[in-house]
Amino acid sequence: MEIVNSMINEKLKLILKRLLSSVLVLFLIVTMVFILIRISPGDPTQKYISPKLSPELAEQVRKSFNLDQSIQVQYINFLKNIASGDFGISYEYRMPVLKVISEFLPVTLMLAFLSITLQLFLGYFSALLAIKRKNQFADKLLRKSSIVLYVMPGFVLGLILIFIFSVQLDLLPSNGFKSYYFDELTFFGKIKDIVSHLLLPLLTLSLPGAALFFNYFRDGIEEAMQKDFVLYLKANGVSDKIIFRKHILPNSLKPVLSVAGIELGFLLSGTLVTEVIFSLPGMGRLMVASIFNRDFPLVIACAFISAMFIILSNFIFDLIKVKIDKRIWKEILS
Amino acid sequence: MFKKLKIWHLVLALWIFLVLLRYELLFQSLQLFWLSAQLIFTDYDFISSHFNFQLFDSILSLLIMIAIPIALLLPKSRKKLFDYRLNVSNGFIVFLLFCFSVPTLFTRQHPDFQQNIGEIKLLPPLSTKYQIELVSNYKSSDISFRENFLAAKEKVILKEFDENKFFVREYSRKDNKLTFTQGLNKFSLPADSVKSIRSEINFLGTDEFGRDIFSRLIFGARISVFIGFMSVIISLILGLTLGFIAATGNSILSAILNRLTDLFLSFPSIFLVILILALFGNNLISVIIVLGFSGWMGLYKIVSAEVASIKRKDFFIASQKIGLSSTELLLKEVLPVIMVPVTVNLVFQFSNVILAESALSFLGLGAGNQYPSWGSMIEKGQEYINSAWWMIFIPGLVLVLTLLSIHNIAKELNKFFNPKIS
Repeated sequence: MEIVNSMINEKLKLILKRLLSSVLVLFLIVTMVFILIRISPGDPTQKYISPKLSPELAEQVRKSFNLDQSIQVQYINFLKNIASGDFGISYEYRMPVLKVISEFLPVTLMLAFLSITLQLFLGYFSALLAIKRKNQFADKLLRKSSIVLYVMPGFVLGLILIFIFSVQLDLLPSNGFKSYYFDELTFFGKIKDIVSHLLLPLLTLSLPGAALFFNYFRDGIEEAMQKDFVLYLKANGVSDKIIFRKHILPNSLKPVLSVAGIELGFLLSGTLVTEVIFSLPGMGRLMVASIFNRDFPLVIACAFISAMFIILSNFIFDLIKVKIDKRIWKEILS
Repeated sequence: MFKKLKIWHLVLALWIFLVLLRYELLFQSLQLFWLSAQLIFTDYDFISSHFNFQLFDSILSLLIMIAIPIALLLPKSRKKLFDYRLNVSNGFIVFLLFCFSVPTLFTRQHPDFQQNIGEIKLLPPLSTKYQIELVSNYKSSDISFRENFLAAKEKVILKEFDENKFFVREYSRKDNKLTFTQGLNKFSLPADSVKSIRSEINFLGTDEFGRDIFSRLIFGARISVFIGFMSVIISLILGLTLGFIAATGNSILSAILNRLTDLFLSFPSIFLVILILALFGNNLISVIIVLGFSGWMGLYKIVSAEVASIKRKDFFIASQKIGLSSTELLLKEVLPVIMVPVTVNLVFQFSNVILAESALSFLGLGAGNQYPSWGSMIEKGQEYINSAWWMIFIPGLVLVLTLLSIHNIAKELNKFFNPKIS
């Protein structure tokens, strides 16, 4: 019992340590972005000040943006505000930054989680198929096409899909998140509408990742199948299904899960190219638009939230890894 | 039979093809080279005012064309570089490098050449148009070096705009009169003012401004490969120096560097790249520098780990004890070992940079509109997806082929250096 308790204590300590280091990373990133946008050329107030305005009014605009103080004071105020969860008010939207982000986040969240599930499913089942038909036509086709899909840039793939499904076949809409008559639809009609709009972006996001996971799954499962313990279990008369589910799969999942953590982080931090092609209102486009508008609070908040998502997704997948393989928690969590 | 083909066969074939296709141009560039060499010593002010990148480029492509057979005949270098087996990916990369070094020999159309947009815009691949060239009024009687130089330059250098040329889709000739239509208007010209009429074929079609997609692809390859090389060199320098510092310096420094690398690796670099380019403005140099700075982490990890492990190996300690100087140790013991993984990593990095560059151009954050780039070509084609598929699919195909070839080459290199990993 004591051993278990001490192990849990040690685990908690490691998790705490990791949380602290993530906070440090977040702080560094926010500081870096703060410095970068302050030394960059361009004045955010210029957009809202006409030359006809009196200098006093212009000064008032600057004051309302909190840009009239010195940079050190601004930085300290900014850190204080962030610590209390206040990211300020967007210059462009004239709303609290978090409210603006909460309008753009659902699309990104939905796309990211659907895409990672689709990637893992597609990768897993195609890998199973390839292993079952080893060195046959299906295996070779999957291997070749996975390399092509993996190196294909997202914008080329997205435009090919649009060309096939929207332009030639006229089956699916090519841009936007909803139709303009969305509010008049029934409940099922709404679901169908959103699904038809999200299908092409999902495919664009998922196919390259699925190709990556296909390779990882295939290599991992094949390597685990050739291990000695599999032969031993077979000799003991354990059925193939149980060997696969309980012994081969957990042993081959480690690289897949670390890649999945990185991939989910990338997806959550905004999938800019896909959003641009399909003109979806997501985090990536919000971030780039805010950079071009010199909307300082929004830029920093977007960077902060993306970094948080990346760290969080890595952490979650590491916890899953620990859950699957209990021997290696020390090296994973530290 | 195909299995016996080597890379130098392809190089030689491309060289012969280009020489047969452009022998006239090569003679003219030789003349231009000779004239400008003479003018440098006699009339320096004149030549320095006329010297530009395009002149330099055409002379350089002539020199490269002369150097290729010499390089093929050299026994030692041929064995090393040109004697690998030819396959599709190798061949494509050789072709790409040819496009990078001598683009003006492949295409005689300036990538930004625009004339009669209404007539020749959005032409599909393999369509023909007629180019009518008028007799130029300008004639010089005095034969000096200057005039000769200008005449030769006129012939060799690609022009963005030419007032004596225009394009029509159809024309008819009737007793000393040439009639053609442009849009809704009919024109007629006296036949003696026309110098020549040629039918020109558009291999890959034209874009929305009537620019030739083939020539834009060739010059776009040049930009992509240039940015790739430069950024890879920057990341190589950064990764090597930081890796050596981390492996040989004190422990505090290496700990800081390790933390920094982890920070950069955990954060998607494309976000930082976009942030910096959008904040500070994008041009060729900033794209190169930012992409170079975003790719040093992998190299740093490899170099620091390898050097740290070499330092503990017996052969290194032995050669240290023998009394080799530190430069000798570096050159003879360390570099040959780390060269293998570093080369493989550099090739992968090259493909990453090309991909990143085209994605940035697609988003409008690339090297700028004055350079043709594959990404920006695809971005422009997006608006014409209903009517002009070739504007997307041809650059897209070339981009995918490039990335695939580089990927294959990196894999093959990996296999070549570490035969254990099949």
